[in-house]
Amino acid sequence: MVTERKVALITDGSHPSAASIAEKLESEGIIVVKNYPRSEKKGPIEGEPNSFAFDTWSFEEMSKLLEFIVEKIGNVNYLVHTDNVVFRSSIEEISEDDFKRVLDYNAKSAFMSTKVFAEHMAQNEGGAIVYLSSVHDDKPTGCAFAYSVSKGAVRMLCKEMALFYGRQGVRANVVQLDPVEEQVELFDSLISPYNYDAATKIPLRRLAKPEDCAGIVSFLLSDEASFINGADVRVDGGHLLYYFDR
Amino acid sequence: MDRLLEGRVAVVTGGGKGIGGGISRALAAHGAKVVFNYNSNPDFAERTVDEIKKNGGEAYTCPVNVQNREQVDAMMKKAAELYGGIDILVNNAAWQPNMDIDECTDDVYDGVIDTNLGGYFRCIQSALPYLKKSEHPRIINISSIHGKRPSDFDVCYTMSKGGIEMLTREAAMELIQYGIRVNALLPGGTKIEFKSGKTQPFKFKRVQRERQYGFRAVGTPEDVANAVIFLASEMGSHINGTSIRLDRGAILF
Repeated sequence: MVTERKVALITDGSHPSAASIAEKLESEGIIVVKNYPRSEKKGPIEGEPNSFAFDTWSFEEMSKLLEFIVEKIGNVNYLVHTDNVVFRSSIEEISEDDFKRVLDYNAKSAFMSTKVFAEHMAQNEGGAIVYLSSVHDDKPTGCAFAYSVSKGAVRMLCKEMALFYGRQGVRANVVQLDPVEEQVELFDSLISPYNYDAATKIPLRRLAKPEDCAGIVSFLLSDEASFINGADVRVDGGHLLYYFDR
Repeated sequence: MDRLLEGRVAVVTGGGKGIGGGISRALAAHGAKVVFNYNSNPDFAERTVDEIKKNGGEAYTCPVNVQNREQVDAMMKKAAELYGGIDILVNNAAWQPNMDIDECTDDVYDGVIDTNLGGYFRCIQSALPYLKKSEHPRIINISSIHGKRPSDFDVCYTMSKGGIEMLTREAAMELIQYGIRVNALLPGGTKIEFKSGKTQPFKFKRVQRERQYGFRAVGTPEDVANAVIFLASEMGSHINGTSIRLDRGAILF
């Protein structure tokens, strides 16, 4: 082991919340490694420490990423899955390729990064996973069909992992973030008024900000949350209470 | 018995055996003309067709892999040509490999997701032009109790069922503009005659203490079929975008 400090991997550093999560974790002394999937050039990113570019939905590439991290930094203790690609398309319109692509980017990435990193954590000193997901793993979007399908799959992946790796010292939880300010337009729907006038509807009178989930992600990873496993934590200011709930 | 689906046309994926077989037989018994595919086992499919015909129903079966868009399109076209349209689509064909994440390979993951989720998506898209013309259009997605509760033995299967939960809600929201109702059924343990050879026995990791239900917790294909008939009939017309557990409440124990 190269470092005594804990190491966290954020699977997609381009997620709007990635920067604030990284900042929060670093403030707690954790070394944060960021990955950038869908980059053309694979491998360590030059000039940016602890940054890599590997495709999260590929077992081989995730295994290579693990090798790099273990060699250069140390064992990984935490996995934050942030892959979150939104294609605006209805069930009627979406192409076969786009459907598969969204499922690979969002769901297979969760599966493959878990397969590699949860196994690694289980074989070392244990750890924790947070899947940074969306309220749209529960509430249909009415505009991005494949997106919510992929998030529904991640929701159940988390529950399986909470059982399977929970026994091996790795906890798994989901954070359901409301669409953040800059993404609200992406979820504009002609058939669902969910995002219409959201800032007024949300009881806390504002839209979600990318940094709203940093605290809960850091808490769920920490030892203070050592008995929290397989949970969904909704971070939406109470928005979903107007709509679908269960 | 009142026949609730007289003259309707139903397509059932994997309708030759298991839960699908029960659904095909029940739809036919209620007066629907049934088209179903088989992927691996023509014997079961042909036996189901014979049985339906012997009881005075109409049925047709063909080999279709739901992972193949052209084959799915051809099946929908055939159903419409044979019987004049499609009113009911029952998405049922699924693969349950019973593999944990550490043994589940890339190919198994892709196969399960592309069959259980991709197949449902493909069949809905392909049947849509016909369903839009129907007066009583219904889509019924056979999911599983594992759309709500993890299985502890089959990670990809559970992921696909979590996806079906959202696929059902999105489709229900989007397609009600055409009058199409989309719902999911979540059977618990169901006794069937045959499982595909690509399934391995599950490995229970819990310390097993036999649950004493005091009632029949394992269902039959007929139990699932009854719910399909209800949703497909006029009685189910105000139900949309929901998922119904079919397990006698076993999940609660």
